[in-house]
Amino acid sequence: MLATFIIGLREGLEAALIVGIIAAFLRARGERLHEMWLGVAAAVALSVGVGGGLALIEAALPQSAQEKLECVIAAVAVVFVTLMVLWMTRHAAGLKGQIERDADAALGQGSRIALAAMAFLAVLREGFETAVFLLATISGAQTGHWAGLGAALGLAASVALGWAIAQGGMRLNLGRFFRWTGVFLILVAAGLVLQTLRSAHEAGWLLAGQQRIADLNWLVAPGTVRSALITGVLGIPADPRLIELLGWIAYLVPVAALTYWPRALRPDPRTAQWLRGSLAVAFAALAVGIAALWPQPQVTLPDHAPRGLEGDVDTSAGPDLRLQGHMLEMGATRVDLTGAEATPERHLGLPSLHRQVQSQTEIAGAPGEIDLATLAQLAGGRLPVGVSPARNPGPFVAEWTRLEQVTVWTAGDALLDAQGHSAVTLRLSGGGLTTPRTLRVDSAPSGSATGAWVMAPAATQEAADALRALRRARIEHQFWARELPVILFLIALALAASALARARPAPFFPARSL
Amino acid sequence: MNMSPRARRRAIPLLAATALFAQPALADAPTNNGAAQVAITLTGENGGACVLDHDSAAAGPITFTVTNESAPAISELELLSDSRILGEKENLAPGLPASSFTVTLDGGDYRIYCPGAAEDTVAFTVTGESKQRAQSAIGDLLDEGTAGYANYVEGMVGAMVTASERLAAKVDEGDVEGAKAAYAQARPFYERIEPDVEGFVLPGTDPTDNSGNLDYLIDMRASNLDPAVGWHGFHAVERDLFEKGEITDETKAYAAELVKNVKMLADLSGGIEYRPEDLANGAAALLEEVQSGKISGEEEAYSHIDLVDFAANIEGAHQAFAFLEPGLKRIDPDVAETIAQRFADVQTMLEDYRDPDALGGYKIYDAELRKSDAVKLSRAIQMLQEPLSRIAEKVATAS
Repeated sequence: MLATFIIGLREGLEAALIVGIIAAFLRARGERLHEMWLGVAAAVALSVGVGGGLALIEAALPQSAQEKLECVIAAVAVVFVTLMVLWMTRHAAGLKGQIERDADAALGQGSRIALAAMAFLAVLREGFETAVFLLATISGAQTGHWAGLGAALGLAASVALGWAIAQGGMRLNLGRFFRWTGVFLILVAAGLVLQTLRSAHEAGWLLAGQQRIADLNWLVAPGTVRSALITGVLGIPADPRLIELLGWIAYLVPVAALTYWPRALRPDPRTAQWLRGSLAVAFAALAVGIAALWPQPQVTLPDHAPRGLEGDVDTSAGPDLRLQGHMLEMGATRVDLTGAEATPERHLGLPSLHRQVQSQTEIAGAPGEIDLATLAQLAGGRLPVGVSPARNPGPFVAEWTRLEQVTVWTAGDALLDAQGHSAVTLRLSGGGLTTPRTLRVDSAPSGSATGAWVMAPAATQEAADALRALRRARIEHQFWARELPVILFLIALALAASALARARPAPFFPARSL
Repeated sequence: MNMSPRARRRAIPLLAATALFAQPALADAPTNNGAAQVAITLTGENGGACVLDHDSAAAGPITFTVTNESAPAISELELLSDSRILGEKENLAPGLPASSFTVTLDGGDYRIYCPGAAEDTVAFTVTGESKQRAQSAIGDLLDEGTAGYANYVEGMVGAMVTASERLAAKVDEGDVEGAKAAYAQARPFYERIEPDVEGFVLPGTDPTDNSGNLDYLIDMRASNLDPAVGWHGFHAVERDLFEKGEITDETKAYAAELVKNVKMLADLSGGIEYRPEDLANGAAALLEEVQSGKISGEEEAYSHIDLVDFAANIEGAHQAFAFLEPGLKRIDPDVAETIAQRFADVQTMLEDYRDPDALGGYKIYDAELRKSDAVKLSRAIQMLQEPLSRIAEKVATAS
């Protein structure tokens, strides 16, 4: 029961918090909450409907789609909560603790609907998952009602907490509410940033920077009420990743600074403008610097691989394999891969190109004539099917062809895997044969080897490991050396724009006329 | 899901790597409903554990079924490849029904991540490849064909033993008419598969020595009589029955020897494996048989049931081709279609020569019929020979 209570509490808290903040904000401004409640009710109904529908058709929630939804909604929530915090910062001082109920200054219909939409999304974010979970606890036969009761109590507790926040916000006047709870709100929003990054990873959008940097099990021991509260409210997980910490700091520090910088120390508008301009230049320089100086992925791919005989791991099947551009070299034999059709294929769990090359070469210097007895010897003691000693007494005209079939899997410039076989065909004509016969023989007249070979398994494993390491390194490089500089550059552009523009009121929530 | 020997060998180093982790290496997960089934149990013992019933599976769809038995601290589980999350389950509380997710995985190393467990990462290995390509399918189709053809040959050899025993019985009874009918019934079995079995020699003899050559001993005729070895087999019996019209002790000896040699052939040819080109070369040889032995009328010089042998040769060649056809359609659909059409043409033509009252079901191929129809018959076979002679090379080089 405790376990389901904790999950219920944690899942419910995130939505309850955002709805509570929106309610407090609206109340503080003397707005009505109808639209917001409508949004919440619609989201709950939709969640229960989808959850129940999935349970009915016994389908699982598409987890990756759910994570994408969570990621986008969390990002939107971050923007909303931040805008609310900034609006309050701007007006907290001016409000002087009074709740003004000035009809002229009311929020526009649009803003109220936007906040209702935010409440809708906040509930929807974990709503599907929570509904599925709740239905599972109710139908779970093993611990039956206790599990369901626990989950329901957890949800109820989270709703109560949200309600308390809204009430607290309403009781206190807006100015004090903000001063007391501003830090808390910024931490909640920073937690949402962290949750956005986590769902982005789970959705498969963000693969870089997933190194675990700390073990917070001591703080948020899984399965405890404390962990549910801390993770649910502040978004702090037990296993924070590098990218999550960076995102958290990158949000928390500037927003907190903007909000709490002592009024007395604020620069005058001209200095502020100059400061923004300088920061823009600094960010741009940082972006360029990182992009230029971030080290390229350094992974050494093996450039040659020994061969083994099929069904045997000994590596005596001739010279090493070496991939040189479009040529596969096997000692003196070179196989041109350019003409072969390259099919993209996952091989050994890696994306690769599959090519099959067949070559036929006439064997020079092989006997041009063969008699029945030699033929029987070649075919393993009996005459091959289709050659009758009565009708085809021989000797036959013999044409020998060497067949080389090579299958390779390459990834970029690297040889991932290869296999092949050599065979010799003998074409017989004359000697009583009306139409020619073709047969495969096991040994070439020159004595060269025939049969199947494979790239040595250890070499394949080594190549696969190296390619995986390279892929990881490329993902990291793509993010740190390409995507991050773009983000920094966009920040620089935004700063430059704000430095050039005149001071304007916060764009989203219209300034209250005092 | 069958693993190729190669894939199985591949699995060795991967499994060896897995063995470094705490759990022992287990067998590949069993397959059910087309997906490998892996059960994961979360327990609260030893600070929380995430236990897999199988730590490897063959490539393809894999269903992970997660049950939280008693681990309040573990409520989430992820399947990872490097840093990519391929599948996950959340909100796993103890006592809840098991939940599952299915993913299609290729060979490689994966991790199961259970945040909150004492040992929160468990290795999972997938072996082999999840799909087959069309190229290798040609080889598979041809292999299926040769295996099917081997069954066909075995069936014919078995029937030939029975039919020659029946012939020998009639000969022993001294029933000339009965023996003639039994002779006509026994002939087609050998004629259908002759190229596959004519290469056998008696143990320890030279293939060019007729005294040890089973084809000679079973199917020699006047035109290829080796005076050193003399008369043997089917045609020796035929000569006595149809030319002399009587059964002598010598006839009985020929028949008994025929049964012995046919049985020997059955022993030698049992379990023989064919290569695709054997089927093609054999079919080509059967058509040459038709041209050289049947149309000329020299095969059945006394009974004149050459058209029975003719039909049997065509049927044997058609069977060999039919077993190659699925693979050949992939290699060269045009040739496959042409040959199928020409076989149909020859069959249609043969319908005109059917005679239910005649011995063996076909018209007697006497001098008159030979004179009027030999050219026509020969031309129809030529039309078939030309495309058929091309397929041995095609199937021998396609692997």
